[in-house]
Amino acid sequence: MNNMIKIQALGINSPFLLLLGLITLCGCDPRFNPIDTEKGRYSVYGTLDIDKDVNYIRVKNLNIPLAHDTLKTLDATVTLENLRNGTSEKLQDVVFEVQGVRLHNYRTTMPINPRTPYLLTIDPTEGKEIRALATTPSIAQTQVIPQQIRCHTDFKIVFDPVDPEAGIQAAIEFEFRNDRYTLRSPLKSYITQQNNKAILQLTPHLVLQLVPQLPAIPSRTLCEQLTSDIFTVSYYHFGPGFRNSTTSDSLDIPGGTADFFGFYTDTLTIELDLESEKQTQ
Amino acid sequence: MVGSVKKRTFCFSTFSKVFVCGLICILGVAPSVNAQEQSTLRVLVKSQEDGTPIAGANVMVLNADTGDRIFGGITDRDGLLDFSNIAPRSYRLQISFVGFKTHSELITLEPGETRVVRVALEVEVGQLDELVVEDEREVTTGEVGLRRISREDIGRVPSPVAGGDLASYLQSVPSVISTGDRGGELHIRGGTPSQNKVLVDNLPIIKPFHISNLFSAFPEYTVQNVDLFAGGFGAEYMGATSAIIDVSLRPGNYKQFNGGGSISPYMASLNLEGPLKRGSHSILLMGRKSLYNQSSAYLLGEEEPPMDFYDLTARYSYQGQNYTCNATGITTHDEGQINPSRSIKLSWRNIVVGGRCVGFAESLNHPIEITAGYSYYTNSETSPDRTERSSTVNQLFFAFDHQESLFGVPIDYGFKLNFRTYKATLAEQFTSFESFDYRRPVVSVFASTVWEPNKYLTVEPSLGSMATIVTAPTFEPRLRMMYQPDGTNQQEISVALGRYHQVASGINDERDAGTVFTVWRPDGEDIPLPEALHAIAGYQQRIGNHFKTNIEGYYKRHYNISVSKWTPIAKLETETALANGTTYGFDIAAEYRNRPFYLSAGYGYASVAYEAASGNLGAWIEEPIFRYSPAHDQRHKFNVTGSYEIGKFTASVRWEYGSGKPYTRVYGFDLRVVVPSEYPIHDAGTARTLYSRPYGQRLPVYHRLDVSVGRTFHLGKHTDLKMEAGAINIYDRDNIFYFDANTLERINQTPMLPYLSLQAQFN
Repeated sequence: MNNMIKIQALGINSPFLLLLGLITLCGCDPRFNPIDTEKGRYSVYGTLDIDKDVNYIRVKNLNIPLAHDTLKTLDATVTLENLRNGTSEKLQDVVFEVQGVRLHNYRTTMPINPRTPYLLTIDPTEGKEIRALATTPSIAQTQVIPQQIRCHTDFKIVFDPVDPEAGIQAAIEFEFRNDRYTLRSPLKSYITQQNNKAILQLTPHLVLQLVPQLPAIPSRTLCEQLTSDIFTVSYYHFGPGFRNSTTSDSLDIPGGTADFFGFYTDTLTIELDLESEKQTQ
Repeated sequence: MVGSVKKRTFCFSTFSKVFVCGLICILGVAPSVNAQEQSTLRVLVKSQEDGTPIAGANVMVLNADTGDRIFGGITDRDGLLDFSNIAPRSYRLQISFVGFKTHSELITLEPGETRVVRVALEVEVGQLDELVVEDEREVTTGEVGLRRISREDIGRVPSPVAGGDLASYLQSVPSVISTGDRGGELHIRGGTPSQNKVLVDNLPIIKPFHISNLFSAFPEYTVQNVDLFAGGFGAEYMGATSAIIDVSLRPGNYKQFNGGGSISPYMASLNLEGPLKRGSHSILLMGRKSLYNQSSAYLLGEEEPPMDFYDLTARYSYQGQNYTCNATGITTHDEGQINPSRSIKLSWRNIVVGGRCVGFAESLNHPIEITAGYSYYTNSETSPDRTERSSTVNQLFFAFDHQESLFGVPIDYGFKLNFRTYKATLAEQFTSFESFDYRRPVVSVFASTVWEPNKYLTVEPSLGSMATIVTAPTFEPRLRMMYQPDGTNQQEISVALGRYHQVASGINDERDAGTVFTVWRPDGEDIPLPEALHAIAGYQQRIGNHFKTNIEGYYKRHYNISVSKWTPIAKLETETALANGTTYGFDIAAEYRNRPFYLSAGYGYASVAYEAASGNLGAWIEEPIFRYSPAHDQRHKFNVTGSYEIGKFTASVRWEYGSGKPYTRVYGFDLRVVVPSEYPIHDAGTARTLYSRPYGQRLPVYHRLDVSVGRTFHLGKHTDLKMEAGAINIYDRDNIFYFDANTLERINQTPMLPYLSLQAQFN
């Protein structure tokens, strides 16, 4: 009313000037929260390796921007429990600092057994606890067929058992003209899953052909250039529940995101019979 | 179905060929058909004061005896209006326009005669009233989807320089959404900037809006009028699926020279116009340069991201007895940053040169219009590592527009040839398509007519088609209808429907408001042509001589919109996926004009939704089809613009309110360790930002008040000095522009921007 009286006193009887005065009072700063604290609280990265005596698991508070993540201790208690026998361990934080960011890695010496579910629990000082489950795989037995493998022999390596969902990953290492080479990614196409077995099937010649870094030489003489007759096959496989994906949602756990798996790795060697092949030729 | 978007263009290929052949036949036959016993009346209206054509003048053809209205219309940008196939007899011709004395004369047309009536309207001294509705004789001006913007309208919106600017005005329109106060991006009724087409005297200009959203290449000084089609436009406009901004520049003064300059903390300008040959040849020149970088630190008291821009306009006009011509040249350049901490330097440039001639001699059955020119546009983005990405479009074009009678029905038809090249250098950012260099000639044809079965109903059907060397001809039928229930323009119901295509898309990373870098790319080869269907219905009511209100509802369905792919990780990467979109809403506007008072208010409700296959889009959600509201889905917008003349002062005010636009929240700041190849105790991991549901939240509401007070001082017989003081965002509200997930910064729009501008004019 006072505003109207003043306006009228000035001889300006314009309602829009009154409106102008009213909305001038509206310049307040709105609340705005761009960070969604409901969707996720922690990320978990680590493997439970059956062969290792000590395993480390990274736990990070997702809601703290990296530049501000300087907490000396995580605001949570982390425990690992063997769900098969009920034993549990409160894990110790080993802080790893990178460019001022404190990374919290939890150390466990709990024995990691095959085909066993392990539950990692993050119990924050405030809010609900968060859980991530990892089941270790069986230790696969391997069988190489046939025993005598020449350059063009179609050989198989049978891994048994292998969880169909998790599959198996392998790499073949060999020495060629005194240099060591490793064939990794292309091998995926030559691994098939049959029930609980995984079978890697190809020929030594094909292995050499699949390595793009090999020097350009006639294909028929590839095997002759091998420095050693030994192929070293390293393989690893995960327990049930492993999904090899790079999108965040596929890694979701309730309350966060995780790459947390049971894991087993081993190697085997294959001795090629190249000498007898030469003699046959 | 969204994931497997069909090439809809080709579904109609057979029909399109039939249509195009039919159209060519019509064009071939049309000139031979002419009703010789009928007459043609052609009216050319100009101002007696400066000799320039008057666009939008009301022309009434009345019964010479009774004074009843027989025909009516408004003049086009050339001040021209053509009535063909009218009965040869006596008529009273009445022409009126705001601020000018009404002209009335008796004419008698002979059978087969084509008469050109040239009228120079005299300025009415002391005439202060706004448009006066003369009972039932006012012709239709309110058309659905169309907003006619006059130079005076542009001048009413406060602007921190001397004189208004089209960019400031457009943001006061409920249908127009800007993404903030920087970037020069305007969304019109759900359409993206690349789905809109800007024409300046028929010459295409891709991005005439400056990096500061307050300015464009079209200041009040150079603009004659603007037609803003927010949708439902006829087939004479081809090549846009959402909206048309058709700008007409004014010619220079044909009678006398005048010039001047202005300065404000944000811009300086110089202008000059006058006759090269009195009455027939004129020139108009204007140049503007921003001073923002020099003044912002002093006036805003904080470090603002740099932005620098200029525009130059030159226009030569010829006005003869039988034809008018003009040659126009415009260049603009913008450079600067949107986000001060990102150090991404953006720049864009337009160069447009062209000419346009309109012939209206008695010897021509109908007016003929020819346009030719060249348009160049480039934009680039330079990262801190000096990696530069750029995209360039060149257009060499020719357009022909004519009118003929076919079986007594007036047919307006035309064709356009547009030789385009698209070139892009994309560095590593755009991983889905590499640098490219395409050449694409585009041919488009159209035909339209106006049918008035009675004094209540006007029907304007039109057909258009467009083709490139890699796309079949499109089929684009369109229809506009106006119904006046009482036979006057006091009430008007209008409807517009149509099908629209465009042959190129502009793609930018819509998730990142910190850059407006856009890659222009032709569609139709690997990617189906973007397409849209429009439906608009409107009702307009005038109450008395001063008050006008209208309501308009609209629906647009867009197909094959190229949108950038998403990744759950915040990084610079833009791949594209196809989405379909639905926009619907309504606008309500009311306007009161009664000098010294002017007030207009508008409210717009809009809903914009896109849908795309989640897999194609890269969305990190479970649903196979992801429906989302894109970043320009502003649901509510309310505007009030007012001006009041107090003595020798004019006060203007504009208040704008907008509801929050969608954005994607962040839920995690992570360092991802790729196990088992990386090990937590040895490897830090890769930084990534994790997003919540895309566009799942809305920003806070936005509102801003701009005010200005100005006065003109007459310093002498030939010198005027106009002073204007004001402020943008006078209550200094922290309106958020966007949240930068990379830097975790809240980027606000411009704080209070005070200004004092001086403008001197000499004549």
